[in-house]
Amino acid sequence: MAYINRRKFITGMTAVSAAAGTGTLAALTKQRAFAADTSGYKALVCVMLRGGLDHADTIIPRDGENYNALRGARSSIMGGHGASRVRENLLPLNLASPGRFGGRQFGMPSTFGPLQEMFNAGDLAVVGDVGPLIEPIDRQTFNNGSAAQPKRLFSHNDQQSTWEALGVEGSRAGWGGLFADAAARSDPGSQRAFSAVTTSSASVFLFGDTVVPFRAPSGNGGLNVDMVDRRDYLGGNARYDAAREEILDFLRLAPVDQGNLYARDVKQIQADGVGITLQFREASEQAVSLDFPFPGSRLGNQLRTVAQTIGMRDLLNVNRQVFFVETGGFDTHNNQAGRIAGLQNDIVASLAAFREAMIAQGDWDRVALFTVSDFGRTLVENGAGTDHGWGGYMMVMGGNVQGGDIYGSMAAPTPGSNRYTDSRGRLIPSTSVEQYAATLGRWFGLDEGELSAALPNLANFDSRNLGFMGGGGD
Amino acid sequence: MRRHRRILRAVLGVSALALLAACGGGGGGGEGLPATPPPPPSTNTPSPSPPAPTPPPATPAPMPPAPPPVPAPSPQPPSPPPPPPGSAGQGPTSTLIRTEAEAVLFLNRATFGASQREINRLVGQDAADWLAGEMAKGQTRFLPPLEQRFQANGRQLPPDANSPLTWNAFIQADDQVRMRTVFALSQIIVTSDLLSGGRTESQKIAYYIDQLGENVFGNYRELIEDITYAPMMGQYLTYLRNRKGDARSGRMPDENYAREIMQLFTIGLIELNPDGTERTGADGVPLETYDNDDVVGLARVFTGLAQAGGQFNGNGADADAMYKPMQMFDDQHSQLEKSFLGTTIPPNTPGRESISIALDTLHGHPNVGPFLATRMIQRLTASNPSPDYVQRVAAAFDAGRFTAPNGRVFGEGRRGDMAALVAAILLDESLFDGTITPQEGKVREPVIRFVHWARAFDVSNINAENERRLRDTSAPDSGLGQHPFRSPSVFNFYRPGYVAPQTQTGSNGLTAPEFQIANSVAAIGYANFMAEYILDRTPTQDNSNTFRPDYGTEIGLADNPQALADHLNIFLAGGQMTAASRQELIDAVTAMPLREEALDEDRRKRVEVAIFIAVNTPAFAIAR
Repeated sequence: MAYINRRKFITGMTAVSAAAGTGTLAALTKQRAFAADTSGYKALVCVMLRGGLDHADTIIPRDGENYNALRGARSSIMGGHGASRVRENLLPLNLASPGRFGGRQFGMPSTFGPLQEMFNAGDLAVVGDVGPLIEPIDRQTFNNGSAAQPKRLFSHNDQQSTWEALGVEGSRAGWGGLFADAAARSDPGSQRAFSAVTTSSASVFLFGDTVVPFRAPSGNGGLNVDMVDRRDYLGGNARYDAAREEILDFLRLAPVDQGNLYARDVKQIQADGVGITLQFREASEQAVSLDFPFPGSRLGNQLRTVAQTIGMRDLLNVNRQVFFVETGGFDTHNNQAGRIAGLQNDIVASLAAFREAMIAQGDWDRVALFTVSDFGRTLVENGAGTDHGWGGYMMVMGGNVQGGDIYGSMAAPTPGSNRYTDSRGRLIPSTSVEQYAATLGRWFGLDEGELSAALPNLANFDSRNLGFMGGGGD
Repeated sequence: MRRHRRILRAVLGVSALALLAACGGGGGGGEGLPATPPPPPSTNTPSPSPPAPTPPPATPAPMPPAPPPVPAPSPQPPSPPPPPPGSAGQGPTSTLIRTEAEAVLFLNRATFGASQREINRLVGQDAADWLAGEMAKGQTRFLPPLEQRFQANGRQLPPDANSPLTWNAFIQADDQVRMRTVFALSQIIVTSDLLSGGRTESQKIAYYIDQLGENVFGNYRELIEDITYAPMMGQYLTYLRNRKGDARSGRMPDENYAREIMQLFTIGLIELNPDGTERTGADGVPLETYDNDDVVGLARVFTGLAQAGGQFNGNGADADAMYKPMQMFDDQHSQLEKSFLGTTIPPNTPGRESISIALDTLHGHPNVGPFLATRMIQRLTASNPSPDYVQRVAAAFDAGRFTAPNGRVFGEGRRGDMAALVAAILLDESLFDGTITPQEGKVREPVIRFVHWARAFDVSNINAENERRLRDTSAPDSGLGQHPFRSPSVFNFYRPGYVAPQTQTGSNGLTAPEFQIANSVAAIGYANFMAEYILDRTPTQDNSNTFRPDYGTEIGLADNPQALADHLNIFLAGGQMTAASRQELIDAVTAMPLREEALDEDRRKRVEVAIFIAVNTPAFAIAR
C-alpha cells in the first residue's frame, strides 16, 4: 500500500492538537487545578441495550413466594420460555451480603452460565432498581407531583438520552464525555481525540465540553481513504501520485471559507475525520493484533474493537478512555420469550469473551464494563410481551468490581406496592443513574467536585457511592 | 501559484484556530447565541471566477432505457388551468426558475438530484407549474412487479427483492417528487424491512411504500388510516394480533402503537404553537400533549387487528394477507371505555369505529400541522426551519390549500392536504428570496447524494439487483450509513431534534438531524463508496458492468480544469462551491497528465477525480 505524504499529515495533527490544547488551557485558567487522577490506565465501557431490556426477565427471584408472584404477572412469557425460567433451573446468585434482602433469593436464567460464574467469582455486580431520577420518589409523590420527576418517562429516545446525558433528546453532553473531559484536563499531554470512542453511533453519552467521540472503524484496525491510499484506483503507477496528494489536501481542507454553518460543519467533520482516522490507522498498524475469539454478532464485534483499541492505548497516547457500545432489539412488546432469549445469549457470550480477552491482555483490572438501557419494562405482561417501564437492573463487570452482590434495592414483584407507578408494574427507581455514574466516575479518577459538576442531581441523594467499585461504599 | 496558495491557506488556518478557541473552548456560556459572528453571506455566493459558460446541452433528452416499475395512469384530478404565461415571475418571491443554477438548487430539494434533462425542462418555467405537473404524474408502484415475479417464480422471492426496486425508482422514476416525498415520509412514519420474515416479506414492505405513495399528495387523515391497517406497521409496532386486556390474568393491551402514533406520527410530545415552537405553562415548563393514561386508553383502540382471512391467530389467513389491509376481529377488540386526549369512546364500540374516532381525534389535534410541517421541511429543505416558515406550511396543511406566487393553487381545501403541504414547503418564499443565510439549508442524506450522482451522470444499465454494494448500504464504513426503508428503529436514522455537539450549527442551537450519522468513519465510508461508483468498479453478481455513468459532457471539458470545475459547480451544486473547494478541484485535475498517446484514458481519469472531489464538497452535501 502506498501511503503518501505521511510527514505532512503528522505535522497537521500536531497543529490540531496544539490548537485544541490552547483553547482548553485558556478556558481552564479560570478554573481550579486539575484534579482527576489519571495515573495508570483505566477504561469505562458503556454497553447500551436499546429498546429497554426487561430487567425482570434477566434477574429473577428464586424464592418461592416472589418467583410465584412474578410468574403470576407474566404467565405467558414465563411459560413461553420453558425450561430456562423454571424455578429449579435458575442459576443461583450467591450474594456476598444476603442479609440485606432477608430470605429472598435471586437467580439468572439457565442460559446465563458464564455470567453466573462471573457473578459468583466476584467479577460482576448487579445494581437493582436503578433509573433516571431527579430526587427520591415513590408512588404517592409521583402521583401527586410533589417530587420532581424526569421528563418524558416511558419514551424510548428521551429515556435513552436521559440515561446517556441526564436530559431528554437534544441534550449536548453526556456523562461519559464529561468524565473524559475531566481526565483530559488533568493530563493535557494525552491525545484527547481518542479519549472517547464509539464503535457504533455517535451517542451523546460521549460528548463532553471539549471531548468529541472518535468512531473506531469496525474490524481490524484501519480504514483506507481508497482514492488516496489505493494506487490501483487511478492506474497503479506514480503518474497520479500528485493528484492523490491533492485529493488528500482537499479532504483535509479546513472549512475556512464556508459561510453556511451546515456546510462548515460538513467540511470540519470530513477534515477532522480523515485526519484522525489516518492517525488511528497508523497506530493500528503498529499494534499487536489480538486474536481472541469473539462472537460474530454486532455486540461481539464491537467489544472486539474495544479490546483492540484498549491494547493500542500507548500508541494512541491516552490513559483514560470511555467507550460506547450498543446493540438493540430489546423493545419486546411482542413474542418476548421468542426474542429475548437470543439477545440475552449474545450478551452472555459477548461479555464473557470480553472478560477472557481482557484477562489475556492483562487489562481486566483496568476496565469497568457496565450496561445501560432505555428503561425496564412493565412487570405485568400484555399477553405476548411487556411495555415501557422506568427503573430496571444493570450489570457492572471488571477486575476492580466488588462483584458477587446486588447493590441498591430489589422491589418485590408486587405491582400493587408503592414501588410501582401503576397496576402494570412500572418500577420506580430507588437508585438514580447519577449515583450509578458517580460510582463509576470515582473509580475512573474524578474527584468529588468533578463528579458534582458532571452529575447535577447527585446532591439530592444520600449516597454518592453505591460501593460496587473497589474501595467500598460510604 | 501553488506556493502562493499554501501561504494563503496558512493564514486562513490561523483564523480558523482563533475561531475554534473562541467557540469550542468557552464551554457553557452563551449557548443559543452565535458564538462567532457568522461570515457575511457573500462568502456563500459562487466562486469569484467568471460564471461558468453554460455547458453544451446534454444529449437531447433520451428516455430512460428501462422503465421504472409500473407507472400507473394518473389518478390525480386535472390541475387548475395555469395562469397565462408572463403573469408570473415579477414579484420579489417569484418562483420562476431563470437559470441553470436556480434549477439545480430547486431540483436538489424537490427530487433525488438534478439531471441535465430535468434542468433543461425547468429553466424558464415557474417551479409551481413544474411541481403541479410532477404531482399529476402516475405513481410508481412497488407491489405489482413484485407480485408478478412472485407468482411467476413459484411463489418465491428473495426476502429483500423490494430493495433493488427502491434504487431503480429513486434513480429513474418519472414521478420524482412523489418518490422523493415518499422517502421523506418513510423517515417520519417509519417501518423497516429489517424484520426477519416470511416468504412475502418483500410484498409486505412494498404495500406500505405504495400506501405512502398513494396518499403522499392526498390527505394525511387517509394516509394515517391506510398505514394503521398496513400489516407491515402492525407487525413492526406489534399491534398485529394485539388482544384486548384480560382482567382475570391482569393482561393489558400492547401500548406500542398507541404511544408511537402519538409521539412520532401525529402530535409529538409537546404542545406546539402554530409556528412549531413549544407551548409552555405559567412556570415556563413545556406542556406535554399526553400522559401515560392517554397511552393506556388509546392502546385499547388498537386491539383486535390481525391478518385478513381465517382466524385471529393467523390460521387460515389469506395468502396475500400481509400485503392488504388487516382485518378487525371484534371479539378480540377491547369493549371497555377508551379515553385519551379528551376523547372518550363509549364501551362496546366496535373496532373499526374506534379506530376511526381515534384517528379523527389525532388528525384534529392542533399539533398535527406544525408537527408534520417541521418534520417534512427538515426532510426536504431546511434542518432548522424558522418559525415563520413552519407557520406558513402548517397553515397550508390546516387550510388544505396553498397558493403559489404565480397564482397556482395546490390542495383541495380540506384539513390535512398533503399536496398543499408539500407545495408550501418547496415553493416557500424563503427559498426564492435570493439570499441564503448561514443558518438555512440542510445536509442531504448520503442515500440522496449517491442517487443524485447516478441521476446527474445518467447512469445506464441500471440493475440494482446485480450490484453487490446496493444490497445493504447501512454500514457507515463501507456503505452510506443508511439504506432506504431500513431504519435501525422507529426513530429513523437520526432524530429531528438532534443538535450536533461541538459543531458550529450546534453552538448556534441549530437542529441538524443528518449529523447524527456523520462522523469520522462515515465521512470516509461515503468517499470510498462514491469512489467505487464514480470509477465504475463496483462488484456485481454476474460480473457484468451495470451502473455505467455517462461523462460525455465532462470529458469534453477535461482539457480545461477551470471550465470543468465551473461546470461541475453549477451542474451538481447550483454554483455553491466555495473558492477553496473549486481551487482544490482544479489543482487535482491539473496535476493529472494528458498524454498524447492516451488522451481518452487520461481525460476520463481527470473527470473521475473532478467528480469525486465535487461530490465530496459541502456544496454538494447541502441543499439550500
